[in-house]
This record gives sequence, structure tokens and C-alpha cells, in this order.
Amino acid sequence: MSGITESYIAYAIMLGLVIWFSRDVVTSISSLETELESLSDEQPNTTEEE
Amino acid sequence: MNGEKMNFRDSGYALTYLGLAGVVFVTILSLEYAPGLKPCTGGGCWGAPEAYRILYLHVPFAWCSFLSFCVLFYGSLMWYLKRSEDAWVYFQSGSDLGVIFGLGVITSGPIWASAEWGRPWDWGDMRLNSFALLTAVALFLVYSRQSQPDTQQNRDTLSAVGLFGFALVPITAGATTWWETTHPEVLIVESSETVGMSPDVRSFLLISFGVMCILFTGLLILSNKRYRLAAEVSGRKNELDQEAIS
Repeated sequence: MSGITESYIAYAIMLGLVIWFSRDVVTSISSLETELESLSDEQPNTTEEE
Repeated sequence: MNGEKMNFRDSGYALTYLGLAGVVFVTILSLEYAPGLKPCTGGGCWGAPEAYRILYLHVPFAWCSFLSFCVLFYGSLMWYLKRSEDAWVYFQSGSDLGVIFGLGVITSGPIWASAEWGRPWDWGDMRLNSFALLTAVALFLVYSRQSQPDTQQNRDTLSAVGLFGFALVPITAGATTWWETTHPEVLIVESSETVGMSPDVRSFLLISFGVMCILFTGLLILSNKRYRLAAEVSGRKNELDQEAIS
């Protein structure tokens, strides 16, 4: 048993972790920017009405 | 000035994408083209000589997790000294990155150990256990942040845990030198003749670490941006609530 299969599995896990985390951070930034924009437009009166 | 600041923060995207492309490139090179390991040397024979390829990403992951804990330490210390929101941003990013890189290490390590030693873990090995504890501390910090109310008292408590976690970094890093462990010794710094690591392997490993550092820097900048934005959103919501009440 040379261990090449184990290498592929380990690489898949490590790559998956960094790709998932990068995607999560980029998505969060995008949604927070949208939320901040909508909050900047929002007036206190509209909040009161809601 | 503000424009320059924005450009620096946006460089996080470029560094992250560059780092990710670099890691994929390193993965292909490591699995297909990396220099081979001598199956047997004066120091003995490898059980699974091809499994050593895990090392090209496992070791940079481990070093980046130590960098994450340095960020966490900086955030914790600054929180105690200044109680600033920026310090808390570093604390949050450090703990997140510590979990990601730590999990990469404690999953890839046992996969290599299963192939090489025939067992995934050695409960008597100082480095393995202290690293697992380090990752557990980061995981605890992330879950505590998410589950507990965001108060100054909780931030104080979590920062204290963050400082304790950093104390484990030198213990983990020096474990193979100070104690007899089954984990391989410090291969990069010390002479590699006895363990069969050629200068080619070492150079390749350092290139991999360079690429990982680019990714780490990009992720740190983006993660900081995320938590600054989150603080801004929370502050704006509070402002609106106050205005609505008055």
C-alpha cells in the first residue's frame, strides 16, 4: 500500500475546508453590504410603522 | 486616505483568489509531480512512501494555524489593553482561521498516520494532543461567540481563553524537540539526511507555505472586513432603534 489514495483524500478535505471558508466569508460580506445599504436608506419612521 | 484604505481591504479578494488558485496548483504538483521520497534510508523504511505527499499541504496548514493563533493572541491582548472593536475583529478572525487550519491539520494528520503507522492517533504523543487541544480551544471560542450574548464580560472571558490558547503554540511547536514523540521531527529546519528529505522536497514545501501565506493573508483581510461590516450593521440597527424610541 503506497498511500496515494490517502493523499488524495487528505488533499480533498484540506482544499474543501479553505474553499468552503473563502466562499462563506465572501457571501457574508456581500449580504452584510446589502443589509448595510438598506439600513442606510431606512428612516426611523419606517421602522416605527413596521 | 479613505480610498487607500478601501483599496487595501479590497486586496483581500485578490489575495484570496490568488491563494486559492495557488493551493489548487500546489495540490496538482504535489500529487503528480512532486519529487519522490526514498522508500528506505539509513534511518529506516517508510511504511507508505506515497502518503508523504500529504505533508506538502499538512505542514503549511499547521504553520498557518500557528499564525492564526498569533492573530488571536494579538486580538485578545489588544482587547484587554484597549477594549476596542478593532481588537475584537482580530480576535474573531483569529479564532475562525484557527478552526479552519487546525481542522485541516487534525484530519490530514491521522490520514497520513493510518497509512504510515497503521493507527490514526497516538494518545501518548505530546505534539498530536497539544495540537488537538489548540484546535479545540479555537472551536470553543467560535461556538461560544455564536451562542453567548455579545457583552463586554463575555468578551473578557473569551479573550482570557484566547490568551491561554496561545500559550499552547510554543509547546506544540517545540514538542518534537523537547519530548520523544512518534510525530516526525522538525524536518525543515534540521538536517534531513536521516529522514530522507531531499533539498527538492524542502524547497517544494517552502513554496507551498508561501502560497498558503498568500491565502492566509487574503482570508484574514476578508474576515476582518466581514466582522467590521457586521459591527457596522449592528451599530446602525441600534441607532435606528434609539431614533425610533426617541
